[in-house]
Amino acid sequence: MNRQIQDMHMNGKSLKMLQTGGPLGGVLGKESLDITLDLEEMSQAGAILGSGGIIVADEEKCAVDMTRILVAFCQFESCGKCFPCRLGMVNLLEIVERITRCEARDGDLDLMKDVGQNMQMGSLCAHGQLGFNPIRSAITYFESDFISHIKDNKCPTGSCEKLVYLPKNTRALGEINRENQDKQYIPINNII
Amino acid sequence: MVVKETKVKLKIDGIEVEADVGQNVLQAALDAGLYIPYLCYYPGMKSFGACRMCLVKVEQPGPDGIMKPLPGAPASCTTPVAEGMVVTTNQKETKDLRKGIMELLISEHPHGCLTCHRVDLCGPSDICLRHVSVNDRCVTCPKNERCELKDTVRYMEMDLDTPLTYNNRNLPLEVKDPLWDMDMNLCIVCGRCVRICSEIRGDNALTFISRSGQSLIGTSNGVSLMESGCEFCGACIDVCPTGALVEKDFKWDKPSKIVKSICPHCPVGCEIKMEIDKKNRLIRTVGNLEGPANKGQLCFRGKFGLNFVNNKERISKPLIRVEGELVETTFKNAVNVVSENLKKYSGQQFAALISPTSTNEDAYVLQKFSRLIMGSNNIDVSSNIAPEITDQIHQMTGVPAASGSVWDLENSKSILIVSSNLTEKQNVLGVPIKKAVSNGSKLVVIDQRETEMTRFAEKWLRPKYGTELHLIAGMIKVILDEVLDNHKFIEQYTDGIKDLKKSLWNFDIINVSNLSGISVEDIRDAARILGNNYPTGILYALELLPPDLRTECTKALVNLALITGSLGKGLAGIFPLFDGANEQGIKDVGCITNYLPGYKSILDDYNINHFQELWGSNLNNSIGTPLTKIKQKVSSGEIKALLTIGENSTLLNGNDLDIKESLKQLEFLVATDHSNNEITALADVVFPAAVFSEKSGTFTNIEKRVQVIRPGMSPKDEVVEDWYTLAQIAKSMGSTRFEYQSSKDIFSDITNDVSMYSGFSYESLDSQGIIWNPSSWNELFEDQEAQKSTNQEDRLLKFEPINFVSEIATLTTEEFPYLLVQGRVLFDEEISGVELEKGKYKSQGNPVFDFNSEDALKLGIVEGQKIEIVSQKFRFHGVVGLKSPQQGIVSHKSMFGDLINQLQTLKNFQVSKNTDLNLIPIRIQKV
Repeated sequence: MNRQIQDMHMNGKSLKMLQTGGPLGGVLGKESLDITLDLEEMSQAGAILGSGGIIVADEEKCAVDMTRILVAFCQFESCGKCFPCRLGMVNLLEIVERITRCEARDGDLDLMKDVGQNMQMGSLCAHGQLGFNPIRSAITYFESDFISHIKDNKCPTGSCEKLVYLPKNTRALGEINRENQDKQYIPINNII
Repeated sequence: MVVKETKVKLKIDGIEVEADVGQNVLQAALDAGLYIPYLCYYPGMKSFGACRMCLVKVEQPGPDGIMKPLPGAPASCTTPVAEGMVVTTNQKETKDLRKGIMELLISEHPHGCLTCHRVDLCGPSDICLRHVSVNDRCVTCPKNERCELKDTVRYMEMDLDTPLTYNNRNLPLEVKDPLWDMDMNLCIVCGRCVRICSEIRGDNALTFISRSGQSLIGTSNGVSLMESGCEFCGACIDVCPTGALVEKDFKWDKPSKIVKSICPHCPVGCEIKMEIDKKNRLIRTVGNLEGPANKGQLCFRGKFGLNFVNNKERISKPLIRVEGELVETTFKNAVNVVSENLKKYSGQQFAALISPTSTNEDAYVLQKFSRLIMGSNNIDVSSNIAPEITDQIHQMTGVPAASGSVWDLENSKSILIVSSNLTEKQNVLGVPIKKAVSNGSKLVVIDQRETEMTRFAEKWLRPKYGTELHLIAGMIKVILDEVLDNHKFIEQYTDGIKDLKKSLWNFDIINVSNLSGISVEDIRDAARILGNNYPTGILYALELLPPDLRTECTKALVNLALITGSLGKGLAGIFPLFDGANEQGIKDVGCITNYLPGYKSILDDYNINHFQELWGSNLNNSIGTPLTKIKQKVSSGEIKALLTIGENSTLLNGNDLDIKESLKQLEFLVATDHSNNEITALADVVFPAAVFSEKSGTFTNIEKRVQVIRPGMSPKDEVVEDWYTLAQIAKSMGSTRFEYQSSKDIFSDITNDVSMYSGFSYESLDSQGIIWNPSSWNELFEDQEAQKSTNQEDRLLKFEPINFVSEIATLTTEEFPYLLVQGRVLFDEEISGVELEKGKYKSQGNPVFDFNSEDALKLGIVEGQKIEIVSQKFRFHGVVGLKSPQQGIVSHKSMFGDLINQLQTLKNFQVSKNTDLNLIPIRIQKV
């Protein structure tokens, strides 16, 4: 993977995260740069080869925010048939959003693990079975980012966009996922 | 030849279980009495695998014989059974997994009371000490204690102290549609309702809306139920595991007991579970999954149309006419008045009519009363308006009824429906038909009207009025000419094919085509569909045929069943579609003018002597007056006294046989009925009659299945069963042959007298009922030896030559030269803009009347033009369409939801009322 990425222009910043295999893949740290791009090594590292795409993020990007974006996508893409995936993704997203806003509760990380494990074991198709992947791998490689959100109530990189409550009928950029819900949090920059 | 194993053995939790190949693990476990929690699976439907409550651990021997675990935790509803499989359902790991998923589910389903230890003591209006919001309490849910979700949570022994946040969806209740309420906050998106609607009912009225976390249940594009193609069968309500879908009536009431019985609305004989509350009211009916004829399905009449039993204005005391007014009296007095008066009449002066909702026991006592005491054979069922459709089968096959059973239709390769509106009159028959069609059977419909079944038809033929006979005979000729007939069956079982072939010379296909207005290709295609795909199921009501053509047409249809070899064990065969629920049984036990009980001909002296000995009195041996002639004989004064038993509203059918006016000519009229109506208003004596939910007895359905009905409600005041009233009258007239203590006594008499019922008892009929077949019929298809020994002439199945009818009566007159054909459909994309107003549908826009383009040319009207339709009884405004297939026919279709509206406006939703779609002569006026 190293060779694939070494030529990239990092604007003088150092590399922080690698996100492989599409949203259901994993978030890897820079220590994973040396693994070869094959199925086994990737899955050992906690990611998947998936579509083969790799997203690279620099040190100014927060791992929690990255996870939130991935989980939001996975939640939106769920077909809604089997219960673990339909409801698990909703709950995971809610918790990750909570952490991003630095409003985490005690035991949220364990709770996510429980929900994620049930999804992995219980879901009907690979979408639900892999739906916890982004969170799990992010926690493995960037636990400090999560801890700082949860314990210190701040984003270490400062890149976490503040999520705000979106009053009803306010226009906003991007997809608003949770219609019919009172709590619609979106990044502050997205409000028009 | 390798014999395929049909049974496999597997172990579930250490218990050895035998299962059919093709079953899944969950079914095998449930059949063996083991429980695995499930929410989305439903017996009788395909597995869905959504709820993941039935997850188990499975080990299975691989090809090398070594046991291997299936990866992960497979859902038992989607895992097929295999030989040697070992299933563990209650490992801690799987239990925890289920609990975890249930916690997720509970995070969006109101569950305030699930963990409360006080819940048993708590009522909906109690102040909650736990400060659970009203919407989140189980005690305020209409399905409280009937909720499968709650049962499952309790079974899993969950703590429910989950840290997940609870989000109520806070959606508004949908209460606009009539008959049902929809609370999408309680929906768990198991999809049972969507699947039963498409998979079992074939309607596709419900669908999933949206996806991911927001997926819910609704109609496509959010239209009302009426526009979505709903047939208001209530199947979705029955399968809903939570309170998301509930009936509007008695929504909050809880049953104190549940009693199995049979629906009294049509001859399908659906088994229902009556839910009866503490106040002795029938609050709800649910189709019984074990019901042999309906397999859990009901229709709008069975599900929502049984409220009449709770009517507060039911007759509760006997009434006699004193100085022109009906006044209450004692039962004894009323009986005396009747017996004094009836003594004046005998033989032809007396007639008795029995409602099709009466039991076999009532009917047996009535015919005995009429024959033994009144000496009269004028006994008939009040729904028997087309007796020809069954009589002819009797002559040709030896069985005076349908030949197959309802669910045999599912296996028919082709199905022919002739002039019947079966999805409204015998609705549940449509379920196996739709299923057969979805499995690849070909459906041919011969009907001028557009009904629900025409939507499923491969070929829909709309002949001119009264030419169905020619069309069917033409089809038989095509099948024989093209050698598509079932030679083996004809040779082995039947007699008289040559005579039939001779008689078919008249039905030349070009001639038939000219007569019926159907093209030669269409007739050939339809015939080939039936000829290439037998066994065929043939269903016919012949509603729109001129009465004098019904006999010939039935003949033709039975001939068609015979040449395609569609009679026999496990084959659907022929179904005459009569209307009355127990018409079959009532005729079986002798309420028929020309037969003694058990179809023993009245003209045969042996039979007469037999019954004279049995009953100890002389019997009248002349054929009586059937329902079709009673009106005439009452008007002419030949019949002076009439006894009508049971629900009389079937007599008020609004057509030519409506006897209401002629009843005024009678000298003496006795009626038993549960509610006041136009007939009780004319009666001299009225006895209160018990309704089906208060009676014990037997019904015989269209497939000849004798089933037990059980009393769930206790009758009020002096309401008694009709047989009791009749027996008391008989006793007071001096007879000693009516010493019946209970309906069981009568049934033992029936089993003695009616040969087909011999050996039956309430106990043996209890679980599934029994289909009777005459012994000769059983011999025919089961006893190989007996088959060989019979001569061709003695065979039971006989072809009959079809007579060519050249003169067809017309309905049209010079004043009304066109025929209005009314169709009724569940779904029509052309009819749009339905509005809901106070729980009632309101169609917008002008109704379309379709003309044939030739007629339109003649009349000088163009598409979209406004016109007025005038008949003897009504005037309608509408616009012109050009889709009628035949000259002289104006076709119009309305929506099924409109009918539901009309029925709702009737008091107590009297769905047994006439819902006919008749042909009406009309004329057209330009506006």
